[in-house]
Amino acid sequence: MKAGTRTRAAWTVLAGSLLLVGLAGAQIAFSRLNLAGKQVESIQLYGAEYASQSALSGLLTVARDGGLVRVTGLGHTLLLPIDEDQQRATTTFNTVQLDTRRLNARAATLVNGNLYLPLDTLASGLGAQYQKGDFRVPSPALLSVSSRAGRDSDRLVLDLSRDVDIIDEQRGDRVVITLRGLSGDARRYTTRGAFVPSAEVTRTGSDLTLTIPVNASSGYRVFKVVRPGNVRVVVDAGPGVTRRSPQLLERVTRPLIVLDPMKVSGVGRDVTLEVARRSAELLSKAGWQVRVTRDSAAALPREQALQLTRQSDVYLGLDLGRFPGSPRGGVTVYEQTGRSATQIVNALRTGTPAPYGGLVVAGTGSTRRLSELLRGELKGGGVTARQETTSRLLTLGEAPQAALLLELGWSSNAKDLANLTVDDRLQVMAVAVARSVATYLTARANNNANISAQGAAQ
Amino acid sequence: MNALRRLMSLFNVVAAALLVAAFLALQAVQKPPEAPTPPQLQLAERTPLKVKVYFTDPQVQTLKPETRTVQVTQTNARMVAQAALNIWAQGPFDRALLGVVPARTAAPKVYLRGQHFFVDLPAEYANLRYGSSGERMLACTITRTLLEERGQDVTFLLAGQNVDSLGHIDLREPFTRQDCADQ
Repeated sequence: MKAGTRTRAAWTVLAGSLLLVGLAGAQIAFSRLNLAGKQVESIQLYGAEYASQSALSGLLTVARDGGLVRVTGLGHTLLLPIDEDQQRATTTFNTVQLDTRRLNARAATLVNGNLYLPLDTLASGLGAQYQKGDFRVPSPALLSVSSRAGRDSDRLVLDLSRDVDIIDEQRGDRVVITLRGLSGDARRYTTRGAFVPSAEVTRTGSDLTLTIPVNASSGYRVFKVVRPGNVRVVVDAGPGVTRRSPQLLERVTRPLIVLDPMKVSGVGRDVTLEVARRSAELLSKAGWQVRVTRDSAAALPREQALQLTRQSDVYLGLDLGRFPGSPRGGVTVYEQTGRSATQIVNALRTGTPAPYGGLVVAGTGSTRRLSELLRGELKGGGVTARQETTSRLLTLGEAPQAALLLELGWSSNAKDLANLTVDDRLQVMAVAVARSVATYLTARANNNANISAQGAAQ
Repeated sequence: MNALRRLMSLFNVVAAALLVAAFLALQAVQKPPEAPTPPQLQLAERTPLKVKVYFTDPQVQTLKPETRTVQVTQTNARMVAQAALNIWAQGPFDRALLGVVPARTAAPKVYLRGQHFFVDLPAEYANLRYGSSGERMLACTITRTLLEERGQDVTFLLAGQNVDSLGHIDLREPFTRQDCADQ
């Protein structure tokens, strides 16, 4: 009996030991990872730390393509094979590609059908700092700026701690390169180059902006060199670089001004047309391209007028206020708020700014600038104008660029009607319209003009 | 006896029966029909309901609400909306406010489909010829009145037809509360 009890106890101890050995031998353990400042889950697989595709998705783009996984981010592209043998995946049996380098390193694998990636391989490819439980990527910073003078072009090199988005635009006689989310000192650099004598780094919100002058015969190009530890942004400018300005830039040299005088019956003189006609004459004499949507005899059909509005660089509606029983009077400048009827206008106004996007669709700031200029000019002529916002006006909603409605007065207000019979007052309004539009468009051209077309503009 | 038998022949009996049946049928069809009983008149109960109706300030800048009581026989949303628009067309009690359409102008008809109101403006609204502020006020006072309690948007029709505009305001898309937010 005693022997039997002893035997049973021995078997129990053996089973327990086997269970403990099994548990100890399990090669997957869950752990926590600090991934670029964010706490995520990771696993320990045969001594190597892996993170799941979903955990990495906040920092990197991970796409599975058959037996390969493509990891992109921080300016790097990594190709890792997926080895379904978990133990083998954690060895250097497989070949991975980190940008242009091929080397033997840990590969991706599947755990319970989910894709997991080795953190040390990722750190090596992305230039990140890694130790178990801590995966750090450098914060984006401008490390240094250097230059090299060439025979037919000069080169500026910006060393960054890691890759950032870059937007380059040519604005008049300078090139503006925006480096998104980059930290660094704002300062001015001088070079020994003949074509890029200086460069200025300034801070714009959370971005850094590099501005370099370019002359009429120079072109420029911007490209990145991504290396394991850092990223270089290279800017070449000079006559040796082919000019590649978008055709869109030429639009600023010949903008279209649309004046839309509304027909108001029952007030005697057609004051909206009178002001539009005089403004158009002044602007045309100064060389601007102006279209008026009607004359005293005929008006453009609504669809044609709307088409002109959609093509306009400046749209200005002229109207008289009318409402039964209202004592309201005075001059009002209306700015449209809210969504536009056109999808592209909404997308460009509310989305991330695109290079040269301002030439396709102007932001609400342009309308505000034009409104301020117009009210300033009116005030200079002795006419005080109120500023108001409105919404859902058909014509203003169709205009992709700066657009305003100028209410010259109220037809239900006797004082306004008397004022509008005074020729001098109409002339003041016409001059204010012409001068504000010309000032606005000149400033816009100075900011955006294609320097090759400057002669045409002048 | 023979004469009686000849008189009571089968043919004579059947003919006499048919004659009697025909007479009875004639009587039946010539009988005047019974007058139908008229349906009993039931008076619908009118329920007073408070609604917020929007008008404009004299400067045609701000939407101003006025709480009014409407008498409705059925408290479904469409009937309440129609009653509110009838009040809207009649104009405000408050002399500090302005009605949006001239007195005795017909009220628009309103329909409700799910969360969407459809307002059919009478053809005479095309001749109001307001300025942009006035036209916006027309659309927005209706929109805010209808969407005060329920609904998502208001689509405007003119005389039963879709229109782009009355002159200034874009009527191609439905109006929402955001379109008519206080400026």
